[in-house]
Amino acid sequence: MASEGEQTVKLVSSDNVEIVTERKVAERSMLIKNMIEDLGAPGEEPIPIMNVSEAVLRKVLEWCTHHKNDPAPSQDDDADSRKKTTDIEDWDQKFMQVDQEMLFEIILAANYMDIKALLDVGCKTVANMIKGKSPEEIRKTFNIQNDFTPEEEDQIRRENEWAEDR
Amino acid sequence: MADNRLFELPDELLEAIVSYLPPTATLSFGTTSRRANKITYEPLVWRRHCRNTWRYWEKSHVLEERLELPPTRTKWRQLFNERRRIDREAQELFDQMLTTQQWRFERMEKIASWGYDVKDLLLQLRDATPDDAEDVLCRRYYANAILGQVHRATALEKWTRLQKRQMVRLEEILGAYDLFVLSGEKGDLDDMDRELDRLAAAIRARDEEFDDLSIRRKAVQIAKFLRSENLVGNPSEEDYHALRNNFISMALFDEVHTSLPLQSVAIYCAVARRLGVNAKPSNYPQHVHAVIEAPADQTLDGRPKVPTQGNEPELMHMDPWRTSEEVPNEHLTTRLTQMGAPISQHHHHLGPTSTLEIAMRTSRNIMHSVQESRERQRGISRRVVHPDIEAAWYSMLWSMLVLGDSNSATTLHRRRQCLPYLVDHFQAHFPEDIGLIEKFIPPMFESEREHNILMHLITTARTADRNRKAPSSRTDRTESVRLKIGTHFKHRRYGYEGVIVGWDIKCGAEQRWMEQMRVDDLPRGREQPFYNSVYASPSKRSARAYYYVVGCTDANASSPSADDKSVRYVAEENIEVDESEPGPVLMQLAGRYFKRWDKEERRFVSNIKDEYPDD
Repeated sequence: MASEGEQTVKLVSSDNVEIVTERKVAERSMLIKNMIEDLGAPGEEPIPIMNVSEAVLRKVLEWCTHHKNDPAPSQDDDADSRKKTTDIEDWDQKFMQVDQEMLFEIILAANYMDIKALLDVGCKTVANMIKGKSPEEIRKTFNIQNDFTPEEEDQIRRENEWAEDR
Repeated sequence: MADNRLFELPDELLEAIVSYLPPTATLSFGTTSRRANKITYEPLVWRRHCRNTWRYWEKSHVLEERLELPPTRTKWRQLFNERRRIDREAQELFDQMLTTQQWRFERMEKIASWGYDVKDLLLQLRDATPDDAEDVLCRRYYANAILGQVHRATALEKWTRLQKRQMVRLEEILGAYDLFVLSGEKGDLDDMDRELDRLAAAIRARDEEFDDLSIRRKAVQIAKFLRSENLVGNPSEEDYHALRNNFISMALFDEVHTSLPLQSVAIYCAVARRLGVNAKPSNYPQHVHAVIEAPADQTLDGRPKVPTQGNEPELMHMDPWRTSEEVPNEHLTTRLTQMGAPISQHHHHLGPTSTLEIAMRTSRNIMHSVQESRERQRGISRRVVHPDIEAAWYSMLWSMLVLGDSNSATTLHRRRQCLPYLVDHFQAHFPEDIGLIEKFIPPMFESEREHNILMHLITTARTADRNRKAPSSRTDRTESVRLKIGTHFKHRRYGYEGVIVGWDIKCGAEQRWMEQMRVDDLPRGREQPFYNSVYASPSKRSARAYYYVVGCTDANASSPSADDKSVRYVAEENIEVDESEPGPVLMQLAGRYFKRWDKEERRFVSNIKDEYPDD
């Protein structure tokens, strides 16, 4: 039997393209890892990744290849209280330099495929696009429609009065 | 119009993104649209901002309890707004306070009255004000001074509780002394609580069966652990009385964990009680042990016992400062006999003592250590000494006034003795504490002669604070005053380093002082200009030196040399202008009067222009 590192798996994208990749790379995805374990015979049966198109899947696998040797993330039970940094390592930053369409597809795929670290990088990237901008600038960046009534806007202004930085 | 891809994400992913936003960005994002607003309104979002933005909280917020409850039970966003409002109001008040001496103490008091809700802000002002800020020295100085007020108010509240026989833990009473001298990152009462909890948990973690051990075995295990972590005891005999050994938080957090037996025992007892072992400091003469009491229905070895009336619980003694082993009873009684303690007193000495007695012992120990370190530091360094001697002395004086035994006559007597020292020290080093003096001291002297004097002192200080400082402008008459406010100098005769913070055309000091300083012996005698100077000095005088309004005189006032951080008079001819950069102690101290050190002009930039407009 081949060692785990050399094993390959077949993935099938939502648009029915078959992609063969190293098992270790694919197992960055907890979804795939669990499926392989359930299937029992890796490499033979193709694994359908139903919500992810070929283009996105290739991009996600590119990330997984680069990070295939990362240590497993440590369990953090109080993640909510921890001060979250939005620092992103250089390679990931370059990797995330894509159009918004692809950026959000990657985030959705990372969520669906259960790749926590990639999801984090995606969310941080979006957070960094929001930080330091005025509400109007944020609307422009993401094409958000201002759907508040003037009364609601007024109320928000009052609520924010103290909380905003000077 | 292009599509809004962001909003194609489900709520949970938008929430994940928002979890990376700081408060301001959260608000901006929430202002963009209804959906964004709904996402940013989640209580968890604001709970996180509250926790990340502030480390310290006033007790009234019951933060720890709120964190245990489901997040929706607390209006986190409202709480965030409340804290932000306080930060902002305190910051505004702080900035106003720096610009003028008028109302200064009142403003400081107002800021300090927010208590722990302003501690983060003050720490930031003290530690994060950049070196090149226009008013860096006074900003840091006053932030630190107000922080001290917050800490001292807490300490006094703890001691007052003890005095009123209310529930307060031993480690809080001892930690209150630390609150006077705190300067580092850790050491506040909450930090100590967390650390003691951590130690107790570590002991449990080390031995799975810990909870099944007998009290006797537990008592030994605890001592073993604390000693193996170097948290109790003191390997260096010479340092026995070192000032830092009196402070329990330093024993816990300083790299050198040394302490006196009393502080070691207090740490031991605090950890032991967290592990279900009833340990208290002993009443033993000359050395403090921990007395451990068995529960009423058990022996120390865990055998069941029928509790009967008058049957006292079994006791054992530990000496964690020296050893991890139990101290045999015979050993203790033999020593008592050798010391001449009558047999009838043995029971008393072997039993536990009161927290009040431990506090009084600590006060006496601090007095001793301060006197010793004043002796030792005579002529040594100009570096910043920690713990600060003046602050330690101040803690001792306050504790001596607040705490008293059940005998009201002896308590009043001791308070009378301490009062002049406290007032002197307050005026010289902590004049901003007028509010604390007003709150705590006069009630202690109700219908005593000191009461009127105190009220007069307080009214005078309040009036001085409310009034604009009378300006001393430069005129023809001041021509003889050649040196300017902010001049850095060395004292020709005593060698200390100082800075000019005020001037008088003629010597305005009291007669007694002039005699002491032999002003008339100077070549120009009383006619020469005098400069108020604040200084950092290598030498230290005896503690009993100067008195102000309470009217006690001190026969021991000996050395006229400059030696603590209070304001003095110096004659011009003793001033040797020094253009080199002042040392760190003077730099710190100068913040009371100056904005910064001007590297071009080689002197301090005045922040007392209201008093000396032309300097």
